[in-house]
Amino acid sequence: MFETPTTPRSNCSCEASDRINRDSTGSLRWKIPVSLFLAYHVFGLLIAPASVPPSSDLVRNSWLLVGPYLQLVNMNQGNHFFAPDPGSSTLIKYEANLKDGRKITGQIPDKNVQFPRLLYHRHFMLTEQFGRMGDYEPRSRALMASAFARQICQEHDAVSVDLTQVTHFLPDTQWIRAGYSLEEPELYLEQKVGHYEWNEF
Amino acid sequence: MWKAWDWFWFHPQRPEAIAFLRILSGAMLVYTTIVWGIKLEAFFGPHGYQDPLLVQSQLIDSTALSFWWWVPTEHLRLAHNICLAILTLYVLGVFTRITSWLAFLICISYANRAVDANFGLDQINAFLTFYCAIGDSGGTFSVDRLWKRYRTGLRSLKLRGVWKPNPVAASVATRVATRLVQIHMCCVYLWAGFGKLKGTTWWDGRAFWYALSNGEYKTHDLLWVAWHPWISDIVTHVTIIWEVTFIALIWVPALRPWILLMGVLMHLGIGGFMGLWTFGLIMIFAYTMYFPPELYQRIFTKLWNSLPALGEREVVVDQSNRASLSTASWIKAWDPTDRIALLVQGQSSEVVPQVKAIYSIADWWREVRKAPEVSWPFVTTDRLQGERLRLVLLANQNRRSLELQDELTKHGFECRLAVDVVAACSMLSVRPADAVVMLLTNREDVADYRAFRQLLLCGGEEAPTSVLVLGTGQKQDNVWRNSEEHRIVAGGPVTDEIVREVTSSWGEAFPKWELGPIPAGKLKQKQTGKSGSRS
Repeated sequence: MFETPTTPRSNCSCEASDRINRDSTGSLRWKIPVSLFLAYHVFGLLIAPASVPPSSDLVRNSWLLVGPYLQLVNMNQGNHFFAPDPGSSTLIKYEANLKDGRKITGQIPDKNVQFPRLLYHRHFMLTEQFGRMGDYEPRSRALMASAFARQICQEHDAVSVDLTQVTHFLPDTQWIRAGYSLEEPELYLEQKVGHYEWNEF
Repeated sequence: MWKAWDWFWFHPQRPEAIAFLRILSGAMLVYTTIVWGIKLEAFFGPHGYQDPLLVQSQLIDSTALSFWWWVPTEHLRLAHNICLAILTLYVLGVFTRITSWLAFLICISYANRAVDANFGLDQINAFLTFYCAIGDSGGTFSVDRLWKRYRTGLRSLKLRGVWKPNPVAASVATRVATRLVQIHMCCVYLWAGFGKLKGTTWWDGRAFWYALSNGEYKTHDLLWVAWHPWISDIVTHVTIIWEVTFIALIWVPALRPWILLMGVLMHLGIGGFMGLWTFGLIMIFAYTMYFPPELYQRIFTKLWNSLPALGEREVVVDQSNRASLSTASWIKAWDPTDRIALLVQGQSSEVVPQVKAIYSIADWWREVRKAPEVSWPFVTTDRLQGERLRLVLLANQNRRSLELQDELTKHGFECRLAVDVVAACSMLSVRPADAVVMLLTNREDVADYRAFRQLLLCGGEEAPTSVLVLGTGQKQDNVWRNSEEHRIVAGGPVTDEIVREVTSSWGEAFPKWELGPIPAGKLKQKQTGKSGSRS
């Protein structure tokens, strides 16, 4: 617990400064290595976001020095929030065929299903990541689509599921001023991802 | 250069700010983990969204760690519950040195297992927990501190009959952690700004509009901004300028509150209009490290003192009874602002409660703003109100100090001898004094004397005046700041010279006293008179 100091020793900044003076004289042996580590750490914090493309060879080579350490402490961060531009959103729509023959539809993420908001964001980040993979990481994209399908089948006890990637584009101000809403069909682009059978998992 | 570096990174710092950050960010970590638990199997199970093959292919050649890879599927829930328990202990400050590192391990393990479901919140959570583990985040506002207060307070009560727990200690580790949080936040904003400068919408002013018109984020309808695009232009430009300049302007003390206020407004906006409350709040939590620890000390003291007192205001303790000592120590351990006076049997009260009533937030804020950095913690002096000038003579108990005490008594002072600073504090806790005479002869006492004198200097009108007499080997350098009310006499004066100095000092300051041999009548009056006032 915290308390109000009752004696000068615990209250006064002089005592601290005195300790510092004593500290400063005989502590170079640990201060120099710690300083080097701090410089390395801060250097890493600066290099990690700088290595996000486009970046120079110098920065990419520097990343090799600090990358393993930053990955270990989970500080290999880009910090590019809503950058370079706020972009369109990616959703996954699904149509699941249940064992009893019924069909259900849904989407990931869904504000009405995933609560609290943080859980909704977790799902949203999954589909955003799926959208980012695009055609550049076909293997990861296939694995992720398969994981989506398997999870949906598990949740709904379905025998098969069809997945569709939906891209929700952002409207300009003119679009809204012209009387359209954010939900107009023209703002959505649907691309079929695939058909998945529970038996295949 | 080295001095500046040394001060910046290694100047010991009290742990109030980082302890406060531990509670806030730890609570966020608990919440984050609880939310993971709602769909634990979906995110951490082998057949969920985060297929092990997928994650391992993304983390190939990476040193990222996660204990989840070694947890069997059937024990996922058990492991999750253990993590929650550890995180709760961390927030409460139980075994903080251990639980803080475990909390960090837990934080990065969740993040590295569900790597595709991460966003800014997880990044900030991770580095704040890491820095809290480096610093002494359990040094105060924690169960650890409560236990330490009890343990060390009980020991002092047993051995010396006074309640004197070990004080909250400043540490270099806390300083390093504080600086790392501050610098890390600068890096975050710098690169958030630079990243935005790569785009076009952050230049042409449309970025804010796009952010608020994103149907998947938006929580409130702000589409009316479409008819006022200049709002989007202003917010976009201000955001960029603020993010890019944060790294420089935050170090300017006069600008710091305004820069942070801007940040708070921005993150509240992100929370309120985009639903990213968790991210917005964790960023605001990190701002706590830009304020001095003394601020949290004052706020806590004011808040605690504004709470209604529970139970007795005075506790009598029998020093020979173990149960009584233990009970009293527990009560005092829960009394961080010393509102409860401890009356050791046969002694007068050790601590005098000084509580000001606070009736509203406005009162409280006024008190916080006007509170001095260090206030006089003992009985307030009532100068010129006593019958005789009351002196505390702080000196080693030797022939010279006893002679001096006799001489001063002969000259009409009421002179009490304190053999060290602790004894002087005890005296001043019980009875007011008009002046303190300090004889510094022993080099080992320098730190104590300097701290005590600093307290007198900071005490203002409430503290007694003083004369510090330096020994032959002591020089009056920059450390010993001279002042009108707190004078310094150097050169190792002999007893007569000290008496002359003291009588001339207070003879001028308090001319109503006739300084001379003490009249017999007054001596009798002193022995039978009032035993001292409390404020």
